[in-house]
Amino acid sequence: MEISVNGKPVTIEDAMNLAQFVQSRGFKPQTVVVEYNEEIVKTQTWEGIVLKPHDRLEIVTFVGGG
Amino acid sequence: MNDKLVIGNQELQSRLFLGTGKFSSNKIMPGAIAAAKAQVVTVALRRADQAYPEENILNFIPKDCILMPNTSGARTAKEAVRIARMSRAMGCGDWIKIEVISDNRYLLPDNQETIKATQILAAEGFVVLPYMSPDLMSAKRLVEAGAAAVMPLGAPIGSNRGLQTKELIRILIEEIELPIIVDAGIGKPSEAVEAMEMGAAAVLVNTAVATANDPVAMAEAFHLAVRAGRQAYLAGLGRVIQSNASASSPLTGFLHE
Repeated sequence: MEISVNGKPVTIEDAMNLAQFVQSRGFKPQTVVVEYNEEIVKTQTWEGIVLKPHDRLEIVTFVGGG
Repeated sequence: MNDKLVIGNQELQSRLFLGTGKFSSNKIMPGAIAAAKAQVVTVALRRADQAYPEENILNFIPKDCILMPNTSGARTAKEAVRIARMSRAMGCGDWIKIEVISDNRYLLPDNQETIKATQILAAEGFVVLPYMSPDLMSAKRLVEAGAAAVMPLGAPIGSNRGLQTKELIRILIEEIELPIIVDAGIGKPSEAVEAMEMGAAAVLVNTAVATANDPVAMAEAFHLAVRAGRQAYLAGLGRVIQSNASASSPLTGFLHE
Protein backbone atom coordinates (compact mmCIF):
# COMPACT_ATOMS: atom_id res chain seq x y z
CA MET A 1 0.00 0.00 0.00
CA GLU A 2 0.99 3.60 -0.44
CA ILE A 3 1.41 6.30 2.18
CA SER A 4 2.89 9.78 2.00
CA VAL A 5 6.13 10.49 3.85
CA ASN A 6 7.47 14.04 3.91
CA GLY A 7 5.32 14.84 0.89
CA LYS A 8 6.49 11.89 -1.22
CA PRO A 9 4.66 8.64 -1.99
CA VAL A 10 6.15 5.58 -0.32
CA THR A 11 5.08 1.95 -0.75
CA ILE A 12 5.11 -0.13 2.42
CA GLU A 13 4.05 -3.60 3.55
CA ASP A 14 0.58 -4.04 5.03
CA ALA A 15 0.05 -4.06 8.80
CA MET A 16 3.17 -2.11 9.63
CA ASN A 17 3.04 0.06 12.71
CA LEU A 18 4.64 3.48 13.00
CA ALA A 19 7.49 2.29 15.24
CA GLN A 20 8.42 -0.39 12.71
CA PHE A 21 8.22 2.08 9.84
CA VAL A 22 10.45 4.67 11.50
CA GLN A 23 12.96 1.96 12.30
CA SER A 24 12.83 0.59 8.74
CA ARG A 25 13.86 4.03 7.46
CA GLY A 26 16.91 4.00 9.69
CA PHE A 27 15.93 6.80 12.08
CA LYS A 28 16.63 6.75 15.78
CA PRO A 29 13.30 7.49 17.49
CA GLN A 30 14.83 9.97 19.95
CA THR A 31 16.20 12.14 17.13
CA VAL A 32 12.97 12.69 15.19
CA VAL A 33 9.48 14.02 15.70
CA VAL A 34 6.62 12.48 13.76
CA GLU A 35 3.38 14.06 12.65
CA TYR A 36 0.78 11.44 11.79
CA ASN A 37 -1.98 12.94 9.64
CA GLU A 38 -0.94 16.37 10.93
CA GLU A 39 -0.94 15.46 14.58
CA ILE A 40 2.24 15.14 16.58
CA VAL A 41 2.40 11.60 17.99
CA LYS A 42 4.62 10.72 20.94
CA THR A 43 7.18 7.94 20.57
CA GLN A 44 5.41 5.77 23.16
CA THR A 45 2.24 5.66 21.02
CA TRP A 46 3.98 4.61 17.76
CA GLU A 47 3.55 0.86 18.27
CA GLY A 48 -0.19 1.29 18.57
CA ILE A 49 -0.51 3.18 15.28
CA VAL A 50 -1.00 0.74 12.39
CA LEU A 51 -0.43 2.51 9.07
CA LYS A 52 -3.31 2.67 6.57
CA PRO A 53 -3.34 3.56 2.89
CA HIS A 54 -3.06 7.34 2.27
CA ASP A 55 -1.75 8.12 5.76
CA ARG A 56 0.43 11.20 5.77
CA LEU A 57 3.63 11.26 7.81
CA GLU A 58 6.01 14.10 8.44
CA ILE A 59 9.28 13.02 10.01
CA VAL A 60 11.44 15.93 11.09
CA THR A 61 14.74 16.45 12.86
CA PHE A 62 17.02 19.26 13.98
CA VAL A 63 19.70 20.52 11.59
CA GLY A 64 22.06 23.49 11.68
CA GLY A 65 20.38 26.86 11.38
CA GLY A 66 20.61 30.47 12.51
CA MET B 1 30.35 42.03 37.40
CA ASN B 2 26.78 41.05 38.12
CA ASP B 3 25.24 41.89 34.78
CA LYS B 4 22.86 39.14 33.82
CA LEU B 5 20.48 39.03 30.91
CA VAL B 6 17.11 37.61 31.92
CA ILE B 7 14.93 36.03 29.24
CA GLY B 8 11.89 34.03 30.18
CA ASN B 9 12.95 32.73 33.59
CA GLN B 10 16.55 32.17 32.55
CA GLU B 11 19.47 34.21 33.76
CA LEU B 12 22.21 34.33 31.15
CA GLN B 13 25.82 35.34 31.58
CA SER B 14 26.45 35.36 27.86
CA ARG B 15 25.09 38.00 25.53
CA LEU B 16 26.29 36.27 22.38
CA PHE B 17 23.81 33.83 20.86
CA LEU B 18 25.24 31.53 18.23
CA GLY B 19 23.62 29.97 15.17
CA THR B 20 24.67 26.55 13.88
CA GLY B 21 24.02 26.94 10.14
CA LYS B 22 26.67 26.92 7.40
CA PHE B 23 29.51 25.37 9.39
CA SER B 24 31.66 23.34 7.00
CA SER B 25 31.44 20.45 9.46
CA ASN B 26 29.50 19.75 12.64
CA LYS B 27 32.79 18.86 14.28
CA ILE B 28 33.83 22.54 14.35
CA MET B 29 30.75 23.48 16.32
CA PRO B 30 31.65 22.46 19.89
CA GLY B 31 34.88 24.48 19.70
CA ALA B 32 33.08 27.50 18.28
CA ILE B 33 30.33 27.36 20.91
CA ALA B 34 32.94 27.09 23.67
CA ALA B 35 35.04 29.94 22.27
CA ALA B 36 31.93 32.12 21.92
CA LYS B 37 30.97 31.20 25.50
CA ALA B 38 27.47 31.02 24.04
CA GLN B 39 24.66 29.75 26.25
CA VAL B 40 21.91 30.07 23.66
CA VAL B 41 22.33 28.16 20.41
CA THR B 42 19.92 28.09 17.49
CA VAL B 43 18.98 25.13 15.30
CA ALA B 44 16.44 24.58 12.52
CA LEU B 45 13.87 21.84 11.96
CA ARG B 46 13.80 19.99 8.65
CA ARG B 47 12.28 16.92 7.09
CA ALA B 48 14.43 13.92 7.94
CA ASP B 49 15.17 12.29 4.63
CA GLN B 50 17.67 9.59 4.08
CA ALA B 51 19.46 12.26 2.07
CA TYR B 52 20.72 13.55 5.45
CA PRO B 53 22.74 10.56 6.63
CA GLU B 54 22.19 11.59 10.15
CA GLU B 55 24.85 12.76 12.31
CA ASN B 56 22.54 14.13 14.97
CA ILE B 57 23.38 17.82 15.38
CA LEU B 58 22.46 17.70 19.07
CA ASN B 59 25.58 15.59 19.65
CA PHE B 60 27.65 18.64 18.76
CA ILE B 61 25.93 21.12 21.10
CA PRO B 62 26.87 21.05 24.80
CA LYS B 63 23.99 19.80 26.95
CA ASP B 64 24.02 22.86 29.19
CA CYS B 65 23.21 25.21 26.27
CA ILE B 66 19.69 26.50 25.84
CA LEU B 67 18.47 25.32 22.48
CA MET B 68 16.53 27.87 20.48
CA PRO B 69 14.98 26.19 17.42
CA ASN B 70 13.88 28.59 14.71
CA THR B 71 10.80 28.37 12.52
CA SER B 72 12.73 28.96 9.30
CA GLY B 73 10.84 27.69 6.31
CA ALA B 74 7.56 29.12 7.65
CA ARG B 75 5.79 31.55 5.31
CA THR B 76 2.78 32.15 7.54
CA ALA B 77 1.96 32.31 11.25
CA LYS B 78 0.18 28.97 10.93
CA GLU B 79 3.27 27.26 9.55
CA ALA B 80 5.47 28.86 12.22
CA VAL B 81 3.16 27.55 14.94
CA ARG B 82 3.26 24.06 13.45
CA ILE B 83 7.08 24.08 13.27
CA ALA B 84 7.32 25.42 16.83
CA ARG B 85 5.12 22.65 18.19
CA MET B 86 7.12 19.98 16.39
CA SER B 87 10.33 21.55 17.68
CA ARG B 88 9.09 21.48 21.25
CA ALA B 89 8.14 17.82 20.80
CA MET B 90 11.87 17.12 20.30
CA GLY B 91 12.05 17.58 24.06
CA CYS B 92 14.72 20.26 24.19
CA GLY B 93 12.83 23.02 25.97
CA ASP B 94 10.37 25.82 25.29
CA TRP B 95 12.44 28.43 23.53
CA ILE B 96 11.51 29.32 19.98
CA LYS B 97 12.84 31.87 17.53
CA ILE B 98 9.97 32.87 15.29
CA GLU B 99 11.06 33.46 11.75
CA VAL B 100 8.30 33.97 9.19
CA ILE B 101 9.58 34.81 5.72
CA SER B 102 7.64 34.98 2.51
CA ASP B 103 10.06 37.19 0.61
CA ASN B 104 12.58 34.98 -1.14
CA ARG B 105 14.85 37.70 -2.41
CA TYR B 106 15.78 39.65 0.72
CA LEU B 107 14.53 37.08 3.24
CA LEU B 108 12.86 39.87 5.19
CA PRO B 109 10.51 38.82 7.98
CA ASP B 110 6.75 39.31 7.80
CA ASN B 111 6.08 41.28 10.98
CA GLN B 112 2.33 40.84 10.89
CA GLU B 113 2.44 37.05 10.68
CA THR B 114 5.23 37.07 13.27
CA ILE B 115 3.01 38.93 15.72
CA LYS B 116 0.20 36.39 15.19
CA ALA B 117 2.51 33.45 15.76
CA THR B 118 3.99 35.10 18.86
CA GLN B 119 0.57 35.50 20.40
CA ILE B 120 -0.40 31.86 19.84
CA LEU B 121 2.90 30.39 21.02
CA ALA B 122 3.34 32.65 24.06
CA ALA B 123 -0.14 31.54 25.18
CA GLU B 124 1.03 27.93 24.86
CA GLY B 125 3.92 28.57 27.23
CA PHE B 126 6.74 28.99 24.75
CA VAL B 127 9.54 31.46 25.41
CA VAL B 128 9.14 33.39 22.19
CA LEU B 129 11.93 35.38 20.55
CA PRO B 130 10.62 36.85 17.31
CA TYR B 131 12.95 37.85 14.48
CA MET B 132 11.56 41.03 12.95
CA SER B 133 12.07 44.04 10.72
CA PRO B 134 12.88 46.90 13.09
CA ASP B 135 9.61 48.78 13.25
CA LEU B 136 8.50 50.40 16.51
CA MET B 137 4.78 49.67 16.22
CA SER B 138 5.40 46.03 15.36
CA ALA B 139 7.77 45.74 18.30
CA LYS B 140 5.09 47.16 20.62
CA ARG B 141 2.63 44.58 19.32
CA LEU B 142 5.16 41.82 19.90
CA VAL B 143 5.44 42.96 23.51
CA GLU B 144 1.66 42.84 23.88
CA ALA B 145 1.60 39.43 22.22
CA GLY B 146 3.86 38.02 24.93
CA ALA B 147 7.33 37.97 23.35
CA ALA B 148 10.25 37.36 25.72
CA ALA B 149 12.61 39.54 23.67
CA VAL B 150 12.52 41.32 20.32
CA MET B 151 15.09 40.48 17.64
CA PRO B 152 15.40 43.13 14.91
CA LEU B 153 17.62 42.53 11.91
CA GLY B 154 20.74 44.60 11.33
CA ALA B 155 20.90 43.66 7.65
CA PRO B 156 19.43 40.85 5.51
CA ILE B 157 20.13 37.31 6.73
CA GLY B 158 23.55 35.95 5.92
CA SER B 159 24.69 39.21 4.31
CA ASN B 160 27.42 40.17 6.83
CA ARG B 161 26.64 43.81 5.95
CA GLY B 162 26.41 45.06 9.52
CA LEU B 163 24.05 47.46 11.27
CA GLN B 164 22.28 48.95 8.27
CA THR B 165 19.16 49.52 10.36
CA LYS B 166 21.01 51.19 13.21
CA GLU B 167 18.72 54.20 13.67
CA LEU B 168 15.62 52.02 13.82
CA ILE B 169 17.22 49.61 16.27
CA ARG B 170 18.22 52.57 18.43
CA ILE B 171 14.57 53.58 18.65
CA LEU B 172 13.55 50.05 19.70
CA ILE B 173 16.22 50.06 22.41
CA GLU B 174 14.87 53.36 23.73
CA GLU B 175 11.19 52.54 23.57
CA ILE B 176 10.79 48.81 24.18
CA GLU B 177 11.17 47.46 27.69
CA LEU B 178 12.06 43.93 26.54
CA PRO B 179 15.62 42.90 25.67
CA ILE B 180 16.50 43.91 22.10
CA ILE B 181 18.70 41.29 20.44
CA VAL B 182 20.24 42.18 17.10
CA ASP B 183 19.79 39.18 14.85
CA ALA B 184 21.00 38.88 11.27
CA GLY B 185 23.49 40.97 9.38
CA ILE B 186 26.30 41.32 11.90
CA GLY B 187 29.40 40.40 9.95
CA LYS B 188 32.29 41.69 12.04
CA PRO B 189 33.14 41.89 15.73
CA SER B 190 33.27 45.71 15.42
CA GLU B 191 29.58 45.65 14.45
CA ALA B 192 28.76 43.52 17.48
CA VAL B 193 30.61 46.05 19.64
CA GLU B 194 28.58 48.84 18.08
CA ALA B 195 25.27 47.08 18.70
CA MET B 196 26.18 46.42 22.32
CA GLU B 197 27.46 49.98 22.88
CA MET B 198 24.06 51.22 21.70
CA GLY B 199 22.41 49.18 24.42
CA ALA B 200 21.37 46.02 22.62
CA ALA B 201 20.85 43.28 25.20
CA ALA B 202 22.57 40.64 23.06
CA VAL B 203 23.46 39.75 19.50
CA LEU B 204 22.82 36.59 17.52
CA VAL B 205 25.59 35.69 15.12
CA ASN B 206 25.88 32.77 12.74
CA THR B 207 27.22 33.38 9.23
CA ALA B 208 30.04 35.66 10.40
CA VAL B 209 31.44 32.87 12.57
CA ALA B 210 30.55 29.87 10.44
CA THR B 211 32.02 31.28 7.23
CA ALA B 212 35.20 32.71 8.77
CA ASN B 213 38.48 31.06 7.81
CA ASP B 214 38.88 30.04 11.43
CA PRO B 215 35.41 29.82 12.99
CA VAL B 216 36.70 29.02 16.48
CA ALA B 217 39.00 32.05 16.58
CA MET B 218 36.22 34.22 15.15
CA ALA B 219 33.80 32.95 17.80
CA GLU B 220 36.24 34.10 20.46
CA ALA B 221 36.65 37.45 18.71
CA PHE B 222 32.87 37.91 18.88
CA HIS B 223 32.82 36.91 22.53
CA LEU B 224 35.39 39.60 23.32
CA ALA B 225 33.56 42.14 21.16
CA VAL B 226 30.24 41.56 22.88
CA ARG B 227 31.87 41.90 26.29
CA ALA B 228 33.69 45.07 25.27
CA GLY B 229 30.56 46.62 23.82
CA ARG B 230 28.47 45.72 26.85
CA GLN B 231 31.03 47.10 29.24
CA ALA B 232 31.24 50.33 27.24
CA TYR B 233 27.47 50.66 27.39
CA LEU B 234 27.43 50.12 31.14
CA ALA B 235 30.33 52.55 31.59
CA GLY B 236 28.44 55.23 29.68
CA LEU B 237 30.11 56.58 26.57
CA GLY B 238 31.98 59.87 26.86
CA ARG B 239 30.41 62.89 25.22
CA VAL B 240 30.85 63.86 21.57
CA ILE B 241 31.54 67.45 20.58
CA GLN B 242 30.45 68.56 17.15
CA SER B 243 33.28 70.90 16.16
CA ASN B 244 36.85 71.87 16.94
CA ALA B 245 38.53 69.93 19.72
CA SER B 246 38.81 69.68 23.46
CA ALA B 247 42.29 69.07 24.80
CA SER B 248 42.77 65.95 26.84
CA SER B 249 45.79 67.37 28.64
CA PRO B 250 45.82 70.58 30.65
CA LEU B 251 46.20 73.64 28.42
CA THR B 252 48.42 75.55 30.83
CA GLY B 253 51.79 76.30 29.30
CA PHE B 254 54.57 73.95 30.15
CA LEU B 255 58.05 74.79 28.93
CA HIS B 256 57.71 78.25 27.45
CA GLU B 257 55.65 80.14 29.97
